[in-house]
Amino acid sequence: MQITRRDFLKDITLAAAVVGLPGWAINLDEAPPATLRASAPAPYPWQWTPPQNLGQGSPTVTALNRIAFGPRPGDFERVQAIGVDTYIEEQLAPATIDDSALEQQLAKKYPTLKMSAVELYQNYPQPAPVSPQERAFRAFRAGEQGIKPQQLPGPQDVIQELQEATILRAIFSRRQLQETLADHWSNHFAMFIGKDAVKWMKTVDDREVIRKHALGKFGDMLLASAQSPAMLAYLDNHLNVKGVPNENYAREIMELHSLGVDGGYTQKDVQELARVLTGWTVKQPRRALLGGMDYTDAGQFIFNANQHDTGAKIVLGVNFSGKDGINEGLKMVDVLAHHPSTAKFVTKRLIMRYIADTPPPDLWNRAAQTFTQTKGDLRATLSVILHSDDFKNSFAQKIKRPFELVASMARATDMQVEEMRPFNATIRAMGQGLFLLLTPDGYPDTGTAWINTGALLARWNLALITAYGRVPQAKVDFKAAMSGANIKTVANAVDFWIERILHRAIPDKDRQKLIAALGANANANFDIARLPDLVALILASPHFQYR
Amino acid sequence: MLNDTSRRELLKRTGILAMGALTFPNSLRVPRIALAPKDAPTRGDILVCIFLRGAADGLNLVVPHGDKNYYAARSTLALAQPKANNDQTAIDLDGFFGLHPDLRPLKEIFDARQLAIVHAVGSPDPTHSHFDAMDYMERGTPGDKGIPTGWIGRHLQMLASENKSPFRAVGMGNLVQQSLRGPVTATALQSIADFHLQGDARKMQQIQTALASLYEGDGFIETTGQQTLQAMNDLAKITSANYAPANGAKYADSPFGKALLNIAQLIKSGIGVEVACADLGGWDTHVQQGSADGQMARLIEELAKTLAAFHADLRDEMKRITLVAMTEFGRRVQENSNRGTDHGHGSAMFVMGGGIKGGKVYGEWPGLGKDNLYGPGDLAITTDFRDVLGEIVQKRLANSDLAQVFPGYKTFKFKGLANEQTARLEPRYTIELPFNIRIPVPA
Repeated sequence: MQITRRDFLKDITLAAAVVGLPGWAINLDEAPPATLRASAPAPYPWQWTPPQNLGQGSPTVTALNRIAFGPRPGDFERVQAIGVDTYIEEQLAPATIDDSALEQQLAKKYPTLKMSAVELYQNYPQPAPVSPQERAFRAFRAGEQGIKPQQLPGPQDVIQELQEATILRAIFSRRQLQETLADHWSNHFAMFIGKDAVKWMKTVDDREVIRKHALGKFGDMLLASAQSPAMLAYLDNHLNVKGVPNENYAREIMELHSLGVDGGYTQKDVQELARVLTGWTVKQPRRALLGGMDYTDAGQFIFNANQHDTGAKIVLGVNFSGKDGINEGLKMVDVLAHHPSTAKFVTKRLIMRYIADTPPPDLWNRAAQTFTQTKGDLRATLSVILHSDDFKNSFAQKIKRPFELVASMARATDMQVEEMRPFNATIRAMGQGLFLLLTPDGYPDTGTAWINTGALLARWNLALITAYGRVPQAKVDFKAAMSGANIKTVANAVDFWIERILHRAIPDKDRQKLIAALGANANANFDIARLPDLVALILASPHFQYR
Repeated sequence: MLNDTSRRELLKRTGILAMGALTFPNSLRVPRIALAPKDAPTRGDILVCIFLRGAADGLNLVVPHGDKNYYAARSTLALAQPKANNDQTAIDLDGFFGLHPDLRPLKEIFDARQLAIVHAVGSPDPTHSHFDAMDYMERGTPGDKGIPTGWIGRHLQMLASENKSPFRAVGMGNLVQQSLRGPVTATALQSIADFHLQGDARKMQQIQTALASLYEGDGFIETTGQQTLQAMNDLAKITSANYAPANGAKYADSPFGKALLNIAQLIKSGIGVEVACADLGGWDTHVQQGSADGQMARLIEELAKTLAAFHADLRDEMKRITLVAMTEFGRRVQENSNRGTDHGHGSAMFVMGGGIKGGKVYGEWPGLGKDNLYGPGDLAITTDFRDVLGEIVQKRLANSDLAQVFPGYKTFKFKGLANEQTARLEPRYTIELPFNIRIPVPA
């Protein structure tokens, strides 16, 4: 896929406008680096201060804001009709939902999604390094001939396609629980897509680890992740060899993927588990004897017995003689997947994603019990969480993060989005770049981590840009949306748009504020020129920031 | 009206400080009050806090070239002993320690005695997890996550300053640093120049007014919204379009360089900055760390260039600025088989400012022999990071109640690296409690 300079400038302009990037970032011919913090902070520890009176929520609104990336026009009415529990059951069985239109679009726009590891390496090879002089010369020649600088397919295309496909799916897939879960597990098994082989292999990981097991058995997902070429490269276990073990992955699989930091392991356990996992590596592309590259089996997980530490080990009280090769690691992944601390940790994060920053203790216990009893069955565990009263009564307990905000805005405004690049840049600029967090802890999922002065300004600007129809290569048609309704007065318009975007009544004082913002009294004729202002203010209001 | 001391007493008596912020009333968060005048006195120094995220290798930042065990442990990564006119070797400081060659821009500041270094410093908690270690350090309570506020947040909370600017505490980046957490809401700022609503100016004025009414209220999101609108108004007053650093200062052309440039700009504008935090990530050099050149050297260059530019840019203001740079822990002494280093324990800290007794590497050297190492083979800690920060808080930030800033730590051993703040300014204003706050006074 070719990105023209014009397109690129448009993306950056949107992103820059949203967060206020400096002018110099707009005039460069290359993408600005992912200006991410090296580390996102741990969840803000104290309780979210309750908002002003937001009015009444409803289980339907809550279900669509949590299970889905917000309602599209028509969704609310449909779920009202079939009932929230039926909707949950439907979403828990994504295979039964017809999503073929989206699948076709994905296959056409993003061919890398279905490629094997070898195909990805072969079709998108690492470009040979180019000297600055050569680059300048090529740019000069391109300018002289009035053509675009030639861009060979490379790993940046693989990354770009995966990011864009993720956004496209979030906005348009009918399997919305599958999409919010994919986001959740990508964050649980977070990795920085810019590192080494991850550039190519994250696409495989997204397909074979995250999406394949999102509603399956947790143990299967944990093992798939442990043998995922992307994870092996990201956390350096492909370099973990006997004699000089690399502890990076051994630590994170316990701290971040299974037991949790307080899950009851020691530094000694980390060192011993690293020894257990020595030799777990991945087949790399290599130089062929006769020039060129040899991609045979590249990206395949392999167990290299020669690099495996054959000494005796003890991890979490489990003894290994050292003679069992790969079985030691398989055993430990199994032990971790079914450890009581893992049941607590995994369910805590799921409840934080779908219900509240602080998990209600009773539900947390029930979810952890289900997880344990079903040997880590994620569909059964989620069923307990989503069918609970805690879920239905959790209106306004969660704040939208940038990805959720962008997707929900596009959905609420029925935006026809042709190209995902502008949104991809925007999400990155707002601090939640997809697969771009450098550290493996994942983005925080608490309101206090995402609401601060800079973030609110970005949210308001995004609302303005959306409502004014200034998102590049995307269309909104608010007049058409209103065409069937009989809208004459300012009050009519305000009520229509509150219902259409929020699907619930807001306190009268807020309704009056919107009327006042249009510079009129409730019974004045509605001036259609103020329509974007009205939509912008609803999207920018505190009401729309909750999921 | 209450003066500072009595307000603090009141807060203490009511247990608000002691309980952290779990129960603080919303109205204690910075209320909407006009910006402090340009010449409003600051009680102590402006604090600039830099966090090197990812565990920076103190042994290659500040090289113990007098320790032969350093060379034994690092056959490919060690920096060579200082040689004159050689930009690949360590730069000697005192015959035992030397700077990484890419820290050369800081040598002049060190020689001018405005830069002090502390070595073998860190947190006593044994964790080798980045996230835990950063968390503990930013809270200022190693091994304890019971208190939800950060050490700088608590410091600000106690001062009950007359400064009501939304820029009293600034966190550069998308998210506010954990050390700033507390009832004084910090402003997260990515860039000064574009902190405004995007659109036709007159129309945006209407939108801004409407947002101000929609964001009325006491909740977290509403108070943050009010602060955002206040900050927009205040920043509009700074002419920021063509900021030119003074004295030929050249910041690194990177997000970190820009963050420090923006901090300098805010400080000079007199908008009320008391504390600013910025981060530089990428120090987790497990693989191909490099030595005089390479991955880590490029980061060091970015760091040194930016700190030197900051110092030059604010030359006339350094007497009221203290900058501290720290990292969550150091790296393993023995290099690994990937020409990198794994997670360690002790590292180095940098303290820069006009009130700092610089030109010296502080701290006892524990040695790098087998018996001297900590845990799996790490540099031991001989100075607790709270000794350094505590001294800064007490002597430079004019806050002597260290028990509140670093609860649970009782054995402060100051290194003597800071001069006592002499020009202690009496606050010109007294704090006005927001009218709607009710503090119960126990019988």
